[in-house]
Amino acid sequence: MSAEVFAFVAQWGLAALFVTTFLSCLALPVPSSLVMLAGGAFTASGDLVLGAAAGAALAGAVLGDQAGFALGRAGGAALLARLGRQPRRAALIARARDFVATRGGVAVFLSRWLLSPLGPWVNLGGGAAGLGWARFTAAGVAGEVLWVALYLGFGRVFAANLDAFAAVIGNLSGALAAGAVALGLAALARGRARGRARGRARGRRPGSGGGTAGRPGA
Amino acid sequence: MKGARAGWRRHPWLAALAALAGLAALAFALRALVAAVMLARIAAAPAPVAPWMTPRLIVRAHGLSPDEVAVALGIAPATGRRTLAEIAAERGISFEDLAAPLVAAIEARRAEGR
Repeated sequence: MSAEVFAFVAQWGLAALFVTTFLSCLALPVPSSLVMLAGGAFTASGDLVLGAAAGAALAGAVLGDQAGFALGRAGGAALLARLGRQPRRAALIARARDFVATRGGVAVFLSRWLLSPLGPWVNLGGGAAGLGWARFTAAGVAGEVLWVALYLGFGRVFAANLDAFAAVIGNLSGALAAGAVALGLAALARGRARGRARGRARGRRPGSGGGTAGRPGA
Repeated sequence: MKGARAGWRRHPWLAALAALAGLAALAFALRALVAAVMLARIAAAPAPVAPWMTPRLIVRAHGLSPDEVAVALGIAPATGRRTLAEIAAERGISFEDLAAPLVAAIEARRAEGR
């Protein structure tokens, strides 16, 4: 499969970089890492101009992020409003919105380059949860600049062994993204357990009007 | 730790998903490690000539001069961005036939220790 991807980049050049990075931001299954590494290798050989390749990849990625964010804002907000009619879900959604408000910028920045498999979902989620456009764009562009520089740079350095290096970076990226998902789920379980415990503690307080544990003489 | 345990007990489906994601992370990390070891082993030797490669990439990866690659492939040195597969198709020969003189030149260079 990697040979076909490398041939695709050799044939289509800058257009391959632009289209692939754009589509990858919309959660479409395109091999953006392989394409970027090949792009880097072809800039090292002189088949592509480094500045033009970086520009095409960055333009595709930033436009793709914006499209994903807009989709999340258009469709996701209505979906969240519908899901939020249930009180338990409403609490969860409120917590997600709080998270986006406090750490949304960091999540967007890290999901551009370090946890890139999560990037498209952060675009959609950020738009749906009401992350500010300016904050999303600033963090997104900064992260994409780093991602483009890293992957084109890796492609240049490992031009002679692209396939072997692609296996390293692809698996490393998967490990980081899966690890982040595991930690996120663990934090979610912990947060929900704490929320429940707090709710019970409130119910036990004398005079709070709820629960049975606080009854005098019990 | 206590909070985490309580979380696991109260939300077994979240715990199962987190464990699954953790296992996937571990599997990916292991594969990355194996791939890194393989890369370290072959780092000194560039990847073999492949149909997707361009003449310039061969120059870059194998350290031949542009003229040596052009002569081996039977093309002009300042050719555009074309893959070996495209060059073979243009000349109406198989990739293997096109690549044979190039592989011989690479091996000769390696034997000379250049």
